[in-house]
Amino acid sequence: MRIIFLKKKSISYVDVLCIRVINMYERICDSNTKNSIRAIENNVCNRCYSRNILKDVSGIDYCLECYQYFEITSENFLVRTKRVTEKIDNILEMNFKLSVDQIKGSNFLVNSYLKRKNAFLQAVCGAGKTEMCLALIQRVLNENKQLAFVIPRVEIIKQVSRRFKDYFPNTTISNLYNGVTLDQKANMIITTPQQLIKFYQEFDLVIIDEFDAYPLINNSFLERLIDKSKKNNAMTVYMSATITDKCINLIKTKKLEYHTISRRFHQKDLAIPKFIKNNNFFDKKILYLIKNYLNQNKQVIIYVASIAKGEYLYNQLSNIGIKTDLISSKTTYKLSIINSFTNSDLNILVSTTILERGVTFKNISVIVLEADSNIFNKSSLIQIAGRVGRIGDEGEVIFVGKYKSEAMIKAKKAIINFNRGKNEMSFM
Amino acid sequence: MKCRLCEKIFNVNSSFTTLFYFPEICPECNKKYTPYLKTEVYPIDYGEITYIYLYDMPLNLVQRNYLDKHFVLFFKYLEENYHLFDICLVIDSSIKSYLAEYGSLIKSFGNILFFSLTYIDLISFKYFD
Repeated sequence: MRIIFLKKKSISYVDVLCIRVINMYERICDSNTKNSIRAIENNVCNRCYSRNILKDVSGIDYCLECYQYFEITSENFLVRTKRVTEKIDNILEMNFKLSVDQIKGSNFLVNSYLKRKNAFLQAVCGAGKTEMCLALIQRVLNENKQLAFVIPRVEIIKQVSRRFKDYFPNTTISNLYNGVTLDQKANMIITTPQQLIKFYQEFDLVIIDEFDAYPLINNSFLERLIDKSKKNNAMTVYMSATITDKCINLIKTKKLEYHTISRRFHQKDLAIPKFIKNNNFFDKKILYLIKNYLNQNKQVIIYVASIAKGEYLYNQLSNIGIKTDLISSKTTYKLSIINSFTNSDLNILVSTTILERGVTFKNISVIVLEADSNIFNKSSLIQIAGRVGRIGDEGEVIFVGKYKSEAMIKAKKAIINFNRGKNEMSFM
Repeated sequence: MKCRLCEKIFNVNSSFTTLFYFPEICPECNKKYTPYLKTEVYPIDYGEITYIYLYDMPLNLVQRNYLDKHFVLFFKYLEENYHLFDICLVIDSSIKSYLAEYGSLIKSFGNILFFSLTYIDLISFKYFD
């Protein structure tokens, strides 16, 4: 009798598992239905896989980690419904040819996909990482598989999405970030990592761009969301210009395929940062530097360590009559500021680290004030320096600080090594 | 010390003035969770709903339990302004799920005061139908 009971129990458990392993879009509801599971079971949150659960006086369990995305309790249920997408012929339209390096990068990604191994593509800023993914994306889309392109910054999602819509005119591409509803028929989803909370075993391929950027770096919560949204045999592609220690370990243990591209597509060198010693945050020396660039008809992005410093600098420059604007996480209309800088309506853009990566501007130079601050680490300084000369134009990178920090020295060394054609793994 | 709100470890610069000073929350959270009353007013058929809340960000159970003490601000407000309202309803997490059902019961009151610790989008509860 006891054996039969166990057998029955195990079959029903397998049945439940079978229902779960299909690509699904997750919703929260208050009542139990056929395809729903309890949001918190056995002290584990089924939405974010957190074990940080707390019981209140009435005996209801609360998840203490995913509360920012609508708080769930053990009284709630998660309904997982299958998302059906139409099979279409996804045509790739590119009005340019990939460079030799880019073709190598593209082939590396496709080969890794065929081997079903996770891959890390390290390419210098402006090497065309997004374009190297196109062949892989087309292949996956034409197999009618689900793919997510994960980007940590909303501004970059908007920019990249426009490019993808041009490359894949037939494909339904949906942007997903806070305040935007998912197009259920989308073949490809460009999303922030936080929005992956809405998916369960949905994607066959997850491409994570700038995976070493805030908020993805050292964030176990977002890592769990990425794992949850992937299918069991899914492939993950990581892309960045910089590499983390965690990745180095994975590459050394051969758990991650690795390929590096140390030249930009136009084969020009990366701008090597110059260091200027200055004890003040903003004074005549900096102003002279800025005016010098403006006389050369160059636009300048000035990176600052905090919003307060940015506001101060913005006020100072505006008072002199220089066309300038400030962009930070608190700015409401970020895209319109980026557009007016792109259209040369602004001479100077004061920015926090929010614009350190992903964005492309023509004919600019970059100044990093207080580059010795803790806010600017090696990876962020490399990324900032990478904003210059992205489309083959000339520009300068200036690090201003009281002293040369370790991050500044390492960043400069890494850029010089990239220009020599060495990858970061080889000199580590 | 461990912050009771964000659970991060933090230090306070030691000096004679802070020798016996053991703050429960870190300076960042202290700034982030400074309470002040925020008000929204919704017109209804026979008057208006005044909605007062303390935080416009989501809070988890631990944070709510800790920050509940700031309800005192609301009680102070009520002491001074109680004559302006016909009925006052404090919305906590347990009432939140039944909020829509209260609509018909409180409809006939003219000036209604809602109060909650965190912001709730009242329009989503369809009070005005």
